[in-house]
Amino acid sequence: MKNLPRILFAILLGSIPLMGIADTYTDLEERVVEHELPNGMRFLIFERHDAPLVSMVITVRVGSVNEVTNKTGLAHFLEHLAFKGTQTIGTTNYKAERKALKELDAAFGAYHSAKKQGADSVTVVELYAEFKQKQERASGYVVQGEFSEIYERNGGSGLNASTSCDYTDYYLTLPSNRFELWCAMESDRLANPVFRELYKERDVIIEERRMWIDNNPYGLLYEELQSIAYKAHPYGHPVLGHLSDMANLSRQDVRAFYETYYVPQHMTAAIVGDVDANEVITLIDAYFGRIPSKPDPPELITTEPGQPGIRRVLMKKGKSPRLYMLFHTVPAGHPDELTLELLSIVLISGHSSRLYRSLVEEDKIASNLYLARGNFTYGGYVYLAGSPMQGVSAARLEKAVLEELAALKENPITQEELDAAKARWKVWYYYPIASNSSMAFFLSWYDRCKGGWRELFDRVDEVDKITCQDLMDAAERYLDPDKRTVALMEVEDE
Amino acid sequence: MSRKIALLLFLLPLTWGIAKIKGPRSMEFPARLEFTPHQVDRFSLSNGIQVFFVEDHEIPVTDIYFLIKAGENRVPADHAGLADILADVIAKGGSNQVPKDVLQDSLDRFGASFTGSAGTEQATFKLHLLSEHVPALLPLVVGALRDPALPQNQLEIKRGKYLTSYQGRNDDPRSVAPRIFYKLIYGEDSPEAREVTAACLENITTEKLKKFHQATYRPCHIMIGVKGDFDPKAMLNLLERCIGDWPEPDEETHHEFSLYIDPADPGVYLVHWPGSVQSNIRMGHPSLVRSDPRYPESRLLAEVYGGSWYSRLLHQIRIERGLAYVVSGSISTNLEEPGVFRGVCLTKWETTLEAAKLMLEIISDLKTEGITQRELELARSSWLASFPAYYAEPEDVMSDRMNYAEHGYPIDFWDQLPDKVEPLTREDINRFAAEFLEPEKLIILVLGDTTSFDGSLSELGEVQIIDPEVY
Repeated sequence: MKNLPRILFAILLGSIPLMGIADTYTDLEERVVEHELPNGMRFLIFERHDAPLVSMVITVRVGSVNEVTNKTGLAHFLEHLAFKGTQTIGTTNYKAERKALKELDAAFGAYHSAKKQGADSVTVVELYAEFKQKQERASGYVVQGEFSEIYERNGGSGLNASTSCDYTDYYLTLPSNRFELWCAMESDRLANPVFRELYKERDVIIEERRMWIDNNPYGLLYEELQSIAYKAHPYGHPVLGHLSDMANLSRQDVRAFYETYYVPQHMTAAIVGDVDANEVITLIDAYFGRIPSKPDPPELITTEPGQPGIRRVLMKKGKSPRLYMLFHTVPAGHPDELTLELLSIVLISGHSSRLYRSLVEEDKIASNLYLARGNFTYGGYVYLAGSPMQGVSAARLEKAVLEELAALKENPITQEELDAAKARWKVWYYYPIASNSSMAFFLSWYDRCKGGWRELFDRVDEVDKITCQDLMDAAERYLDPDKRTVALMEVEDE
Repeated sequence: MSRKIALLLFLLPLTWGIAKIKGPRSMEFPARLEFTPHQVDRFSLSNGIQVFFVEDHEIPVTDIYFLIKAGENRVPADHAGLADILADVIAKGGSNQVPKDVLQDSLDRFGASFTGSAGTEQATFKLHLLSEHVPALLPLVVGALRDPALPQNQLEIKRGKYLTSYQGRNDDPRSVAPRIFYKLIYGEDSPEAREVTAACLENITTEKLKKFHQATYRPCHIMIGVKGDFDPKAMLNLLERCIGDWPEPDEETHHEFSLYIDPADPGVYLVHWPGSVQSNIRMGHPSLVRSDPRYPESRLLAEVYGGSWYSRLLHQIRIERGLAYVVSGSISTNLEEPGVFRGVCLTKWETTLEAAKLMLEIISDLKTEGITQRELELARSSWLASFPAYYAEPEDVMSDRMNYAEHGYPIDFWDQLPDKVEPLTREDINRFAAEFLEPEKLIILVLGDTTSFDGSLSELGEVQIIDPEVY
């Protein structure tokens, strides 16, 4: 009798069919206009006339994965410097400024070498004064902040950029009548960037690292997890870079990295909003067509070898234990990616999910549980983060998570669980297209870093084909407890 | 000559359809863009509940919001957290007719979510689902709002989460600094700043939740917003059936507490944080109520102060000197009580004093010298041109309309602002800055490792030490 209401509601709700949403996606897919320039740069345009706004995202397939020892943090540093202007924006006289920048870099080099080689303090102080004097001179040609100021004066919102291990995004929303401004500004910075004010901006990114990592216990813990998860692949180093590398990055480093990796055939721009696709294409051809073709960047050869055993790190800090657990999975675009998404939902999303129900609701071991998937070009992962309830250690939570994963064998995933996961997946899947800015982001990301932009829409057909057995196979293949990487934060000793 | 003409004639067709390239500096656009925000329709149910609809048929998803005047400002300080715990337990715990497991299984079955939380002024619930499942699921969640089961287990879980969070409250300096800053500004017992302690949690029982629910979850406190792919007539009928018959009880409701309860005295406050590699500097004082006639002036002053890339804080501290990654300033407002004028900067220990002094100088200069004509033009142009972005999404307009309606403002308060901002002169802004900015009333908080500062904080004034373990 206790379960009667539950059964009645299950019958009532079970009678309502799950809808097919593929039609909506087909309609949306057909509205995307694709355009490619002779230099290889790609554009995706989606007209949406609800408000007089247009959102743009440029995705460049370059990230920290392209960095080498001594030069970590370079992709992110370049992203910052890309806001410093061009040969025509941010300067009063580029020709004179270029000369001043050369002298400045020479002065910095002399100061830096003297300091490193242990020159006497008088020499170091003199060279430093020379460097500051040259810096002052170069600054004299700079129109500080002009690049962002032009956008802001024109109502630009959300002006920013981000760097990940695989790609770098530049994004902005503008009043739609100013779309041409974006074409002029972005094509100029992609073709003619000037990495001015470098030494000051280097201090800024070091402050950024301090904020996210060095002064943040959970940032530090994540960095540790990342570093032990990879022994060969550059995914193991932080996107922000190691402090010692960051402090030594030079203009030559940035320029060489830009010349090698900022190639038009590795760039996609998505434009979503109140624009006319034909007019957009005319402007794109004129402005972005001037970006010269470049050779393909070198291919990354290093592959991460299979993980032979458990890797773990333990930190003791503060009073809030934390568990991070990572399993290597598949690269972006792999057929198992979708199966892993559904498996993640079964395990941790919604109140009926296995880990939530068991560890949060019943045993009250976890306060919060979070599971993310890293969909990366050269190999992804499933990553679980958990905060134990007060009085519970991170190690105890780790044990409980492993027990739940082991229980999958005795209690296989049911059709009911799979249906619920698919339903949740479909509701979530509307998120990427709900707003102009998110749609622009997902279109360009799928196009440049996954299996192409159409995958954003086509995956909805694939999800219905996945079975319970697929999920069980994926759990066995990828969530192997003997190949886990774990970072634990336990309470600091008194 | 004839060969040149022939070449030109040959090339001419190639240039058709090719736009002429212009430089960004030479591009000019009208200051304002004709713009009509998404249409929001307003209705009343039989029991007086106000309902707002905004349709968006591009994707088959609907979001239903319930905003209820049942926030933390109706809870005494020794019960802090009660309003938020109640909202969470309602959303997760089901009703006396539909138990928790049935509600949760039903939501999960359709991939829907129903969440609840409470802030200072109101509790907010959101039902997010595919549109076709609204008729099946809406009655279940409304049942939970009207007659919640409030299972003890859910209360225990939420209490455990609060205790866990309280236990680690001093682990991350980035969260310690704002917590202490707002306690200083609003006062330790303010519903805007206070903490949910173990003692508060002891006081929160199922009986107390029930009592608070009876007193505050009532039709006159509720507004409903629906956004997405739905038929308005059918939705209105459904809401009328589900919630329109909820009678208004006779008892008196809880009174509201002010946001400002015994704030700290102006001055310099220090949290010594051994080993911290970055200092967290915050300074501010109370600001305006949004209904203040000088609100338009405050928007432009905020842009110039710290709300843009060209603002003085960002320009002088980040761009010119490279002292910080995070540096910003704002003039926030509340609808019924003053908000906060504040500045924030995170910088390395050895530039702590340098950055703090710069922040103070900027505030002082704005008060005494005011903004320049160029800054005015930049701020005005930027604010007016970006106005449509404030209403980019349909729910932005809807939540705005609901917010202003609830507090007795003209529903189109925000829409009227461009006409008030456009004619503002430099003299208007500077008059406002001179009145509004009060450097002598600033609360200045610095969190960092004092052993490595570039000077003594006492250069800024008499320093009071705060121990984060007990404050």
